[in-house]
Amino acid sequence: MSASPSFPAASGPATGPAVRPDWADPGPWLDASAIPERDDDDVGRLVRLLRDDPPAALERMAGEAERLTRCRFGRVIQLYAPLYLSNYCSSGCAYCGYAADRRQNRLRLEPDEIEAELEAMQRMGIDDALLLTGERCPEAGMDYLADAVARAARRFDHVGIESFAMSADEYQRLADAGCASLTIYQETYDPALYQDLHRWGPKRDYLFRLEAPDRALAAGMRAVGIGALLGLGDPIADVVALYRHARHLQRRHWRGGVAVSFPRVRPEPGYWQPRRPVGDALLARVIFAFRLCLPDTPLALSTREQAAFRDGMAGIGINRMSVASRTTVGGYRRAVEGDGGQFAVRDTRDVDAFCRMLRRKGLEPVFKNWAAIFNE
Amino acid sequence: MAFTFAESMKLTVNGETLELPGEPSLADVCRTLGANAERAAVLLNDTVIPRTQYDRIRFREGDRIDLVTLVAGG
Amino acid sequence: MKDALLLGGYEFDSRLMIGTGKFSDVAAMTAAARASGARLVTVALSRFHRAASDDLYQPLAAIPGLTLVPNTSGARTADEAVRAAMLGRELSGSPFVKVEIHPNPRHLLPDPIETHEACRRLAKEGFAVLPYIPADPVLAKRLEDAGCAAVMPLGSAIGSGRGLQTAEMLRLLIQDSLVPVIVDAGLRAPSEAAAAMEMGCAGVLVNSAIAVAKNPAAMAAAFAAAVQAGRAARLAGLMDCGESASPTSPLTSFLGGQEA
Ligand code: SF4
Repeated sequence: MSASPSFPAASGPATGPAVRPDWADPGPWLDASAIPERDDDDVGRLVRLLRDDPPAALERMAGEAERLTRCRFGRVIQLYAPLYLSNYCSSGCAYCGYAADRRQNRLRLEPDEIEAELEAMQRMGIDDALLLTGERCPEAGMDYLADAVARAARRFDHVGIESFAMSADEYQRLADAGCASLTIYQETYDPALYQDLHRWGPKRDYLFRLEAPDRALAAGMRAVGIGALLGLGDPIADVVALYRHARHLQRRHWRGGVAVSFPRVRPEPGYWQPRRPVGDALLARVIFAFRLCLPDTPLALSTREQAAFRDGMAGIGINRMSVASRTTVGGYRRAVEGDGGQFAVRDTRDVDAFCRMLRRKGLEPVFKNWAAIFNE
Repeated sequence: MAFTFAESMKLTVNGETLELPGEPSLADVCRTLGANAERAAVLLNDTVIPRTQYDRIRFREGDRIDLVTLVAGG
Repeated sequence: MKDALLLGGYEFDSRLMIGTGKFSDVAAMTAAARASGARLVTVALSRFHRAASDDLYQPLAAIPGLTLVPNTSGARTADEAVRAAMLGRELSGSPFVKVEIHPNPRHLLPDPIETHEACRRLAKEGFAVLPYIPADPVLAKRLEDAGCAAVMPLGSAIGSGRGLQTAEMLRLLIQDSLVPVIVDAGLRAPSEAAAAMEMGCAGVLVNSAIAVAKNPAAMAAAFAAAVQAGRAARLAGLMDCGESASPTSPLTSFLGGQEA
């Protein structure tokens, strides 16, 4: 399925799409007639699980995914909450409500506001915070982010960031400030589509973003979270590339943790419509297939998803979930007028309600990732 | 220090004490043991001597020499 | 070269390595070496003895296409192993060294701490270092970081013939390794060599199982065939195991029966 583009044409530098490294290329596995010469990471198995047709297979996969998740992670679901620090953004990602050309009430949390939001999160029981900003801009650059990380690290045992792609030195600086993990999604692994969607700004640099997790782990962060924004491109191609990316990181950085997330882009009234919408059944299949092929890897699901879907997936493949998210800046203390958020939160339950659901399913919500006694 | 010509030199070769006349060369030491100097590696007082320096080895009284060769092993 | 074994920048057309110890005589050993098709053959070092002219260089040099891999057997510390490696290089003219440091004479299990130190130093000296190690995935990564050309985890204790006792650790080790993994020690039957190759090992090293077979040359040929079969199976892609789980209540009913 393909829709005509609903966004202005790219206006960045007139370079061709990036040449992606072998380890992010799903190509050899997508063409059924071409058998890749070697398959050390058993990509073939993932592809078979993704393409296995009978609907009955999905139930079998779910059973196996649940068994593996329970073996490796027990009955525990790790909870985290995002904190949007700023929605200033210099980028032009066609699918995002915070893109620089969108009318948006721009806000940034000042230090005292950051403290107040962190305190509000603490009161909710959160101990694992993910700090978010848009693309690098004067309002929210490195100094701002490093300060926010240091503030959060004083309160929480685990602090992560989801922000713009940085240099190794910058990751080192954030790690030193107490940042334990980096979340960064490649959005799509298809270089041509990537260039279409990222209309201007530093984010147009496909390789700089693709290699950001390598730089972060080399700079001493403990873990990275990667993902593809499903709905942008061919979902099978993107998740196969995502799997290869995860395996690349696991081989290259044996001390580093690698987690995988499965964000879906949602239609936005009047704006962006996903070109290749991914339905619930396909998303479930993708998650089960990842659990079967990566039994030891944390798999995360955010509050972008509806409550029923999250409830169904908790513990059968998924072992890490965000909770009570506010995707608006300053959202933990108040609703901010005029800010539509980066994406719509579908699961709006509060921490208590969400934990009650998990316990009903025989799962134990856990707020602590690890005690930060090792972070100097 | 007085410089004198030694009559002979005492060397420990592969754990055995040998007394060789004059100033023995590596070839002399090998010959005494029946070893092929071409096919031996040399450890002089626990230091590996590269093949290219075999001609230039000058032993001194009391040196420990190990002549090593390839044997069966897994 | 098709599906060559890449080791320290060199290519080899056989994935079976053999050791030269424990044969009844040199003729049996060279016959087995030829029959195995091995390109990499390990040898040990020893002080020269007046009595026995046991230099293996000439008989092995007579077999075309062989690369000698001196080992450091007998070394009990990193210092001794480095010295042995230097001597071995002088004798073999080969950049390869198999680092083995196993101070306990009963089980001959490798000392990981001395091994790591020896490998670190030898890699800096430009050797293509092949360490014999316990099947420890973390140690394997540390050795990879230290610049080893491969890692050689044990299947079971040297000469024990107990097969792939370490299979589960080998699986974890192979899964994340960036250098070739060559199973060394403990194999008894060619089927075990095939199993190691199916798991994704880049090669296997066999010594005792060939040397003490009734017919060493025939056993060497059998191992060669097994290694090839296992490798071919690995490349062909083994079928997936069936998922046996059958949940009591449906897990996917929340999807409302829809399929992608
Ligand atoms: S996805 Fe991030 S970088 Fe792109 S427009 Fe949105 S906030 Fe900015």
